[in-house]
Amino acid sequence: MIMKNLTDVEIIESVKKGNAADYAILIDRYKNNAFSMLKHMLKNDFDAEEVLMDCFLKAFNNLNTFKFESKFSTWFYKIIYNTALTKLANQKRKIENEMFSVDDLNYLESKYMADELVKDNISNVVKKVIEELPEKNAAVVTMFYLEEMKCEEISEVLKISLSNVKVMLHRSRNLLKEIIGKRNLFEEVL
Amino acid sequence: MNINNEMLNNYLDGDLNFNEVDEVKKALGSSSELKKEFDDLNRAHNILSKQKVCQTKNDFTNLVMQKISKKSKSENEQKIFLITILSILCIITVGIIGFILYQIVSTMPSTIDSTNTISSLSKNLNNFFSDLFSKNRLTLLGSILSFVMLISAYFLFELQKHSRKNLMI
Repeated sequence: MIMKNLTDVEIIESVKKGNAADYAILIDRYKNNAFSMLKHMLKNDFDAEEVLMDCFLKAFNNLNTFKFESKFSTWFYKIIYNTALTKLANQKRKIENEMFSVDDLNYLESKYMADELVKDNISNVVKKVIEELPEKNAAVVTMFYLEEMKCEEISEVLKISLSNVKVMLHRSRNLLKEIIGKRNLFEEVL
Repeated sequence: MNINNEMLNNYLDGDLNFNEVDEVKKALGSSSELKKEFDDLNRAHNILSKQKVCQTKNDFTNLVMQKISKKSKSENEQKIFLITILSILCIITVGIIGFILYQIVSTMPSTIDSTNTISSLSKNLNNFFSDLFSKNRLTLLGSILSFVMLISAYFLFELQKHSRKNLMI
């Protein structure tokens, strides 16, 4: 129980000293949020888990190169994001440019306005919308809302400008607002 | 000031300065349309904040830790293998040097005449190398060289593997 209260830095120092078992605390701390991000990016549970395992192994093997210049979460999410992009590239899927395509979001908006989905449960709609966001938008939304990272940290992870992070975040939020707003589902939430 | 969607988003994220916050607050108080847009945006923000975290399998941590311990075990085995190979190489090198020295010393005259020492030594060295590169010894030399090349190739492969891993990050 005491071990679980340790900071990331303390755990990393302990692992570097040879207490490899302490790494399990870091895994427990980050696995679910990181898994959410990978699932939203890769759109597949199996791939997400496989990539996540690979990322934890990579992080462990390269822990000596971590110099505490940034937060562990920023460093770790860089590994996750880059590995996910590599996975997507291997699957010959389209990797977006720094500025995502507006058409992607327009497509999602029209899709989730469809009549057959009107009676769907709000949490299902939100889940579906997030899962169908373009990879970078999904990554931004997950890091911002689940990991509670600042936009500056997200821009460091994604290696894009701060303003582009904000544009992605605002567009994703607006998309959800439009979909749910037009379908009068807010009341259901409240 | 024109209050647009971007400003409302920035207001929600707390990215506006004091004056801009004041302007947005005033605009929200005076325009019901803007107020509705902000409320909708705020609700979308709350929904996103409350989104469920996806859960990994229960034994995920154990699986990762098992892989880590397996890997460190195989790394230790690799280290032992490398040390063994290096030791064998060192022993072979020391053996060869010892053999060369023995050959040189054994062919030298027992009473050392200082004026003839250098010429005798160079003559012995010349004889030794002629002997070494003779038809009989060439096979042995080739085997040793092949062995050294094999070991070097192994180290090069390991180095390349290691660099590749680093590039992945």
